[in-house]
Amino acid sequence: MKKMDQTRGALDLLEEAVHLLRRAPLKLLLQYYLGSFPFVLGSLYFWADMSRGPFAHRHVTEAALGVSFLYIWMKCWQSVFCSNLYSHLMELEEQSFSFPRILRLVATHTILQPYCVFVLPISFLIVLPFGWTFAFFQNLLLIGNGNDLNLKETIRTSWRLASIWPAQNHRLLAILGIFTFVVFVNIGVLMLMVPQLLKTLLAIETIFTLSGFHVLNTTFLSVLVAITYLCVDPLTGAVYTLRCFYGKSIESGADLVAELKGLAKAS
Amino acid sequence: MNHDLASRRCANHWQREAAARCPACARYYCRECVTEHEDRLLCASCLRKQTYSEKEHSRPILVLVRAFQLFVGILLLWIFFYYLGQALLLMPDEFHEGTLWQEKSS
Repeated sequence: MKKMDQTRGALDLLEEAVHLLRRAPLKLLLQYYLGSFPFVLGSLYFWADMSRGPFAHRHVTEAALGVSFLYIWMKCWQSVFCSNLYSHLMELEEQSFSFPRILRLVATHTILQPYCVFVLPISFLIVLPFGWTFAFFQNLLLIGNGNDLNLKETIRTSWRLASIWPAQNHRLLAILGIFTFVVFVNIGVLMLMVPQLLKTLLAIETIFTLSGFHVLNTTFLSVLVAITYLCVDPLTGAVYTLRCFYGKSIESGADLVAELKGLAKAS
Repeated sequence: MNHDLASRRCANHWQREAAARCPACARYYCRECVTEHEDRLLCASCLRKQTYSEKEHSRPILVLVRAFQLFVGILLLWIFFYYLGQALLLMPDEFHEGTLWQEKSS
Protein backbone atom coordinates (compact mmCIF):
# COMPACT_ATOMS: atom_id res chain seq x y z
CA MET A 1 0.00 0.00 0.00
CA LYS A 2 2.87 2.30 0.89
CA LYS A 3 4.58 1.46 -2.38
CA MET A 4 1.39 2.31 -4.28
CA ASP A 5 1.21 5.67 -2.53
CA GLN A 6 4.75 6.49 -3.52
CA THR A 7 4.48 5.34 -7.12
CA ARG A 8 1.17 7.04 -7.89
CA GLY A 9 1.49 10.58 -6.62
CA ALA A 10 -1.21 13.20 -6.48
CA LEU A 11 -0.02 14.91 -9.66
CA ASP A 12 0.09 11.59 -11.56
CA LEU A 13 -3.46 10.88 -10.48
CA LEU A 14 -4.62 14.35 -11.53
CA GLU A 15 -2.95 13.97 -14.90
CA GLU A 16 -4.58 10.58 -15.33
CA ALA A 17 -7.95 12.08 -14.37
CA VAL A 18 -7.58 14.81 -17.00
CA HIS A 19 -6.78 12.17 -19.64
CA LEU A 20 -9.71 10.05 -18.46
CA LEU A 21 -12.07 12.99 -18.87
CA ARG A 22 -10.67 13.81 -22.29
CA ARG A 23 -10.98 10.21 -23.48
CA ALA A 24 -14.45 9.73 -22.00
CA PRO A 25 -17.41 10.03 -24.40
CA LEU A 26 -19.14 13.40 -24.49
CA LYS A 27 -22.28 11.63 -23.28
CA LEU A 28 -20.75 11.23 -19.81
CA LEU A 29 -20.14 14.95 -19.43
CA LEU A 30 -23.67 15.61 -20.65
CA GLN A 31 -24.94 13.26 -17.94
CA TYR A 32 -22.93 15.22 -15.38
CA TYR A 33 -24.24 18.61 -16.53
CA LEU A 34 -27.79 17.30 -16.83
CA GLY A 35 -27.66 16.93 -13.07
CA SER A 36 -25.54 19.92 -12.12
CA PHE A 37 -27.01 22.66 -14.35
CA PRO A 38 -30.54 22.53 -12.88
CA PHE A 39 -29.15 22.64 -9.33
CA VAL A 40 -26.77 25.49 -10.10
CA LEU A 41 -29.47 27.49 -11.88
CA GLY A 42 -31.99 26.71 -9.15
CA SER A 43 -29.64 27.71 -6.34
CA LEU A 44 -28.64 30.92 -8.19
CA TYR A 45 -32.31 31.81 -8.59
CA PHE A 46 -32.87 30.98 -4.90
CA TRP A 47 -29.90 33.19 -3.89
CA ALA A 48 -30.97 36.13 -6.07
CA ASP A 49 -34.60 35.83 -4.99
CA MET A 50 -33.80 35.62 -1.27
CA SER A 51 -31.34 38.50 -1.44
CA ARG A 52 -33.54 40.90 -3.49
CA GLY A 53 -37.09 39.59 -3.83
CA PRO A 54 -39.52 41.83 -1.93
CA PHE A 55 -41.93 38.92 -1.32
CA ALA A 56 -39.27 36.22 -0.91
CA HIS A 57 -40.12 35.67 2.76
CA ARG A 58 -43.54 34.36 1.66
CA HIS A 59 -42.20 31.43 -0.36
CA VAL A 60 -38.87 30.60 1.32
CA THR A 61 -40.30 27.26 2.57
CA GLU A 62 -41.30 26.05 -0.91
CA ALA A 63 -38.15 27.45 -2.52
CA ALA A 64 -35.93 25.63 0.02
CA LEU A 65 -37.76 22.36 -0.72
CA GLY A 66 -37.29 22.90 -4.47
CA VAL A 67 -33.54 23.46 -4.10
CA SER A 68 -33.34 20.38 -1.84
CA PHE A 69 -34.86 18.19 -4.56
CA LEU A 70 -32.54 19.73 -7.16
CA TYR A 71 -29.59 18.87 -4.89
CA ILE A 72 -30.67 15.20 -4.76
CA TRP A 73 -31.20 15.27 -8.55
CA MET A 74 -27.63 16.56 -9.00
CA LYS A 75 -26.10 13.95 -6.69
CA CYS A 76 -27.92 11.13 -8.49
CA TRP A 77 -26.64 12.26 -11.90
CA GLN A 78 -23.14 12.73 -10.50
CA SER A 79 -23.34 9.13 -9.29
CA VAL A 80 -24.37 7.98 -12.79
CA PHE A 81 -21.44 10.00 -14.22
CA CYS A 82 -18.93 8.42 -11.80
CA SER A 83 -20.29 4.88 -12.41
CA ASN A 84 -20.03 5.25 -16.17
CA LEU A 85 -16.57 6.80 -15.84
CA TYR A 86 -15.56 3.75 -13.80
CA SER A 87 -16.94 1.42 -16.51
CA HIS A 88 -15.03 3.41 -19.12
CA LEU A 89 -11.89 3.00 -17.04
CA MET A 90 -12.48 -0.76 -16.81
CA GLU A 91 -13.08 -0.90 -20.58
CA LEU A 92 -16.58 -2.21 -19.87
CA GLU A 93 -19.86 -1.33 -21.55
CA GLU A 94 -21.83 1.62 -20.25
CA GLN A 95 -23.86 0.68 -17.18
CA SER A 96 -27.58 0.15 -17.55
CA PHE A 97 -29.90 1.69 -15.00
CA SER A 98 -33.09 -0.31 -14.59
CA PHE A 99 -36.05 1.16 -12.70
CA PRO A 100 -35.32 -0.72 -9.42
CA ARG A 101 -31.67 0.35 -9.65
CA ILE A 102 -32.68 4.00 -10.18
CA LEU A 103 -34.91 3.75 -7.10
CA ARG A 104 -32.04 2.32 -5.04
CA LEU A 105 -29.67 5.02 -6.32
CA VAL A 106 -32.12 7.82 -5.49
CA ALA A 107 -32.77 6.31 -2.04
CA THR A 108 -29.05 5.97 -1.27
CA HIS A 109 -28.28 9.59 -2.16
CA THR A 110 -31.42 10.96 -0.51
CA ILE A 111 -30.47 9.22 2.72
CA LEU A 112 -26.71 9.82 2.76
CA GLN A 113 -25.85 12.97 0.78
CA PRO A 114 -27.82 15.49 2.91
CA TYR A 115 -25.29 14.97 5.71
CA CYS A 116 -22.65 16.36 3.34
CA VAL A 117 -24.00 19.94 3.60
CA PHE A 118 -23.58 19.86 7.40
CA VAL A 119 -20.55 17.62 7.88
CA LEU A 120 -18.28 19.17 5.22
CA PRO A 121 -18.44 22.79 6.52
CA ILE A 122 -17.94 21.58 10.12
CA SER A 123 -14.98 19.38 9.16
CA PHE A 124 -13.58 22.29 7.13
CA LEU A 125 -13.70 24.48 10.24
CA ILE A 126 -12.02 21.78 12.34
CA VAL A 127 -9.50 21.38 9.42
CA LEU A 128 -8.07 17.97 10.36
CA PRO A 129 -10.89 15.58 9.30
CA PHE A 130 -11.73 17.52 6.12
CA GLY A 131 -9.63 15.36 3.77
CA TRP A 132 -11.28 12.15 4.90
CA THR A 133 -14.84 13.50 4.93
CA PHE A 134 -14.45 15.11 1.51
CA ALA A 135 -13.09 11.85 0.06
CA PHE A 136 -15.87 9.90 1.79
CA PHE A 137 -18.67 11.94 0.21
CA GLN A 138 -16.94 11.82 -3.19
CA ASN A 139 -16.58 8.03 -2.89
CA LEU A 140 -20.27 7.72 -2.04
CA LEU A 141 -21.05 8.91 -5.57
CA LEU A 142 -19.34 5.86 -7.03
CA ILE A 143 -20.02 3.26 -4.34
CA GLY A 144 -23.68 4.21 -3.87
CA ASN A 145 -24.49 3.61 -7.54
CA GLY A 146 -27.69 1.68 -6.86
CA ASN A 147 -26.32 -1.84 -7.27
CA ASP A 148 -27.81 -2.58 -3.85
CA LEU A 149 -29.36 -0.69 -0.96
CA ASN A 150 -26.98 -2.00 1.67
CA LEU A 151 -26.24 1.36 3.29
CA LYS A 152 -23.92 -0.08 5.95
CA GLU A 153 -21.74 -1.69 3.30
CA THR A 154 -21.83 1.46 1.13
CA ILE A 155 -20.70 3.62 4.07
CA ARG A 156 -18.06 1.08 5.13
CA THR A 157 -16.59 0.75 1.61
CA SER A 158 -16.64 4.53 1.01
CA TRP A 159 -14.91 5.17 4.32
CA ARG A 160 -12.34 2.41 3.73
CA LEU A 161 -11.50 3.88 0.32
CA ALA A 162 -11.39 7.39 1.79
CA SER A 163 -8.93 6.26 4.46
CA ILE A 164 -6.34 4.74 2.15
CA TRP A 165 -3.35 6.83 1.03
CA PRO A 166 -4.10 9.88 3.23
CA ALA A 167 -0.97 11.75 2.12
CA GLN A 168 -1.99 11.42 -1.52
CA ASN A 169 -5.53 12.54 -0.66
CA HIS A 170 -4.34 15.68 1.15
CA ARG A 171 -1.89 16.57 -1.62
CA LEU A 172 -4.75 16.15 -4.10
CA LEU A 173 -6.97 18.46 -2.07
CA ALA A 174 -4.22 21.07 -1.84
CA ILE A 175 -3.62 21.00 -5.61
CA LEU A 176 -7.35 20.98 -6.38
CA GLY A 177 -7.81 23.90 -3.95
CA ILE A 178 -5.15 25.98 -5.68
CA PHE A 179 -6.52 24.99 -9.09
CA THR A 180 -10.06 25.99 -8.03
CA PHE A 181 -8.79 29.37 -6.83
CA VAL A 182 -6.96 29.97 -10.12
CA VAL A 183 -10.09 29.04 -12.11
CA PHE A 184 -12.17 31.32 -9.85
CA VAL A 185 -9.83 34.29 -10.43
CA ASN A 186 -9.65 33.60 -14.18
CA ILE A 187 -13.42 33.49 -14.59
CA GLY A 188 -13.75 36.62 -12.43
CA VAL A 189 -11.24 38.51 -14.55
CA LEU A 190 -12.97 37.30 -17.72
CA MET A 191 -16.38 38.40 -16.47
CA LEU A 192 -15.01 41.83 -15.57
CA MET A 193 -12.81 42.33 -18.62
CA VAL A 194 -15.08 41.20 -21.46
CA PRO A 195 -17.76 43.91 -20.92
CA GLN A 196 -15.04 46.55 -20.57
CA LEU A 197 -13.34 45.35 -23.75
CA LEU A 198 -16.68 45.33 -25.61
CA LYS A 199 -17.24 48.90 -24.50
CA THR A 200 -13.72 50.09 -25.33
CA LEU A 201 -13.26 48.32 -28.66
CA LEU A 202 -16.80 48.09 -30.05
CA ALA A 203 -18.66 50.73 -28.00
CA ILE A 204 -21.20 48.14 -26.85
CA GLU A 205 -22.75 48.94 -23.49
CA THR A 206 -23.75 45.98 -21.33
CA ILE A 207 -25.47 45.68 -17.96
CA PHE A 208 -22.02 45.25 -16.41
CA THR A 209 -20.61 48.53 -17.76
CA LEU A 210 -23.80 50.43 -16.90
CA SER A 211 -24.01 49.11 -13.33
CA GLY A 212 -20.57 50.37 -12.32
CA PHE A 213 -18.59 48.64 -9.57
CA HIS A 214 -20.17 45.24 -8.89
CA VAL A 215 -17.34 42.97 -7.74
CA LEU A 216 -18.72 42.86 -4.17
CA ASN A 217 -22.28 42.24 -5.37
CA THR A 218 -23.31 38.87 -3.87
CA THR A 219 -25.10 37.73 -7.06
CA PHE A 220 -21.94 38.36 -9.09
CA LEU A 221 -19.90 36.39 -6.55
CA SER A 222 -22.40 33.52 -6.43
CA VAL A 223 -22.43 33.29 -10.25
CA LEU A 224 -18.63 33.20 -10.14
CA VAL A 225 -18.67 30.38 -7.56
CA ALA A 226 -21.28 28.46 -9.59
CA ILE A 227 -19.30 28.63 -12.85
CA THR A 228 -16.10 27.64 -11.04
CA TYR A 229 -17.93 24.66 -9.51
CA LEU A 230 -19.21 23.56 -12.92
CA CYS A 231 -15.69 23.76 -14.36
CA VAL A 232 -13.79 22.04 -11.55
CA ASP A 233 -16.19 19.46 -10.15
CA PRO A 234 -16.09 16.96 -13.08
CA LEU A 235 -12.32 16.78 -12.57
CA THR A 236 -12.77 16.22 -8.83
CA GLY A 237 -15.25 13.44 -9.60
CA ALA A 238 -12.81 11.83 -12.05
CA VAL A 239 -9.93 12.04 -9.55
CA TYR A 240 -11.90 10.32 -6.80
CA THR A 241 -13.26 7.71 -9.24
CA LEU A 242 -9.64 6.88 -10.05
CA ARG A 243 -8.73 6.73 -6.37
CA CYS A 244 -11.60 4.28 -5.80
CA PHE A 245 -10.50 2.27 -8.82
CA TYR A 246 -6.94 1.87 -7.49
CA GLY A 247 -8.20 1.32 -3.96
CA LYS A 248 -10.53 -1.47 -5.08
CA SER A 249 -7.81 -2.93 -7.30
CA ILE A 250 -5.75 -3.89 -4.24
CA GLU A 251 -8.33 -6.62 -3.59
CA SER A 252 -9.73 -7.33 -7.03
CA GLY A 253 -6.78 -6.68 -9.34
CA ALA A 254 -9.12 -4.63 -11.56
CA ASP A 255 -6.26 -2.35 -12.67
CA LEU A 256 -4.39 -5.36 -14.12
CA VAL A 257 -7.53 -6.55 -15.92
CA ALA A 258 -8.06 -3.06 -17.40
CA GLU A 259 -4.41 -2.89 -18.44
CA LEU A 260 -4.60 -6.32 -20.11
CA LYS A 261 -7.77 -5.29 -21.94
CA GLY A 262 -6.02 -2.15 -23.12
CA LEU A 263 -3.04 -4.19 -24.37
CA ALA A 264 -5.35 -6.66 -26.14
CA LYS A 265 -7.13 -3.77 -27.84
CA ALA A 266 -3.85 -2.22 -28.96
CA SER A 267 -2.48 -5.47 -30.44
CA MET B 1 3.13 -12.28 -1.28
CA ASN B 2 3.18 -15.56 -3.23
CA HIS B 3 5.94 -16.99 -1.01
CA ASP B 4 3.94 -15.92 2.00
CA LEU B 5 0.82 -17.66 0.72
CA ALA B 6 2.73 -20.83 -0.17
CA SER B 7 4.03 -21.18 3.36
CA ARG B 8 0.54 -20.81 4.90
CA ARG B 9 -1.94 -23.53 5.81
CA CYS B 10 -5.72 -23.57 5.50
CA ALA B 11 -7.48 -22.28 8.64
CA ASN B 12 -9.94 -25.20 8.47
CA HIS B 13 -7.63 -27.98 7.17
CA TRP B 14 -4.17 -27.71 8.69
CA GLN B 15 -2.78 -30.40 6.38
CA ARG B 16 -3.66 -28.45 3.22
CA GLU B 17 -1.69 -25.60 1.71
CA ALA B 18 -3.45 -22.23 1.58
CA ALA B 19 -4.68 -21.18 -1.86
CA ALA B 20 -6.32 -17.85 -1.05
CA ARG B 21 -6.73 -15.23 1.62
CA CYS B 22 -10.23 -14.07 2.49
CA PRO B 23 -10.32 -10.26 2.01
CA ALA B 24 -12.98 -9.88 4.73
CA CYS B 25 -11.39 -11.75 7.66
CA ALA B 26 -7.78 -11.86 6.30
CA ARG B 27 -7.37 -15.58 7.13
CA TYR B 28 -5.86 -18.15 4.76
CA TYR B 29 -7.90 -20.98 3.22
CA CYS B 30 -7.50 -23.86 0.77
CA ARG B 31 -9.34 -23.90 -2.58
CA GLU B 32 -12.27 -25.88 -1.15
CA CYS B 33 -12.95 -23.41 1.66
CA VAL B 34 -13.37 -20.25 -0.43
CA THR B 35 -16.16 -19.27 -2.80
CA GLU B 36 -16.24 -16.56 -5.44
CA HIS B 37 -18.78 -13.89 -4.62
CA GLU B 38 -18.99 -10.61 -6.60
CA ASP B 39 -15.45 -11.04 -7.97
CA ARG B 40 -13.98 -11.81 -4.55
CA LEU B 41 -12.93 -15.08 -2.98
CA LEU B 42 -14.64 -15.23 0.43
CA CYS B 43 -14.59 -17.88 3.14
CA ALA B 44 -17.85 -19.59 4.15
CA SER B 45 -18.44 -17.58 7.35
CA CYS B 46 -17.82 -14.21 5.69
CA LEU B 47 -20.04 -15.21 2.78
CA ARG B 48 -22.77 -16.20 5.27
CA LYS B 49 -22.47 -12.81 6.98
CA GLN B 50 -22.79 -11.01 3.66
CA THR B 51 -25.76 -13.01 2.42
CA TYR B 52 -27.42 -12.63 5.84
CA SER B 53 -27.18 -8.86 5.56
CA GLU B 54 -28.62 -9.11 2.05
CA LYS B 55 -31.56 -11.15 3.38
CA GLU B 56 -32.21 -8.39 5.91
CA HIS B 57 -33.37 -6.19 3.04
CA SER B 58 -36.57 -8.15 2.67
CA ARG B 59 -37.68 -7.45 6.23
CA PRO B 60 -40.79 -5.28 6.22
CA ILE B 61 -39.50 -3.23 9.13
CA LEU B 62 -36.55 -2.19 6.99
CA VAL B 63 -38.96 -0.60 4.51
CA LEU B 64 -40.25 1.59 7.31
CA VAL B 65 -36.72 2.41 8.43
CA ARG B 66 -35.73 3.36 4.89
CA ALA B 67 -38.86 5.54 4.53
CA PHE B 68 -37.94 7.30 7.77
CA GLN B 69 -34.33 7.74 6.61
CA LEU B 70 -35.57 9.22 3.32
CA PHE B 71 -37.77 11.65 5.23
CA VAL B 72 -34.88 12.65 7.51
CA GLY B 73 -32.62 13.17 4.48
CA ILE B 74 -35.09 15.50 2.75
CA LEU B 75 -35.83 17.27 6.03
CA LEU B 76 -32.12 17.89 6.68
CA LEU B 77 -31.66 19.40 3.24
CA TRP B 78 -34.78 21.51 3.62
CA ILE B 79 -33.57 22.81 7.01
CA PHE B 80 -30.20 23.75 5.50
CA PHE B 81 -31.67 25.65 2.53
CA TYR B 82 -34.49 27.16 4.60
CA TYR B 83 -32.06 28.72 7.09
CA LEU B 84 -29.75 29.75 4.26
CA GLY B 85 -32.72 31.59 2.74
CA GLN B 86 -33.57 33.15 6.10
CA ALA B 87 -29.97 34.30 6.53
CA LEU B 88 -30.02 35.89 3.07
CA LEU B 89 -33.32 37.61 3.88
CA LEU B 90 -31.86 39.05 7.07
CA MET B 91 -28.82 40.55 5.39
CA PRO B 92 -29.17 44.24 4.49
CA ASP B 93 -29.61 45.26 0.85
CA GLU B 94 -26.34 47.22 0.97
CA PHE B 95 -24.52 43.98 1.67
CA HIS B 96 -26.08 42.23 -1.36
CA GLU B 97 -25.38 45.22 -3.59
CA GLY B 98 -21.79 45.39 -2.37
CA THR B 99 -22.15 49.07 -1.44
CA LEU B 100 -21.90 48.47 2.31
CA TRP B 101 -18.11 48.69 2.30
CA GLN B 102 -18.03 51.72 -0.03
CA GLU B 103 -20.35 53.74 2.22
CA LYS B 104 -18.32 52.88 5.28
CA SER B 105 -15.09 54.03 3.67
CA SER B 106 -16.54 57.35 2.41
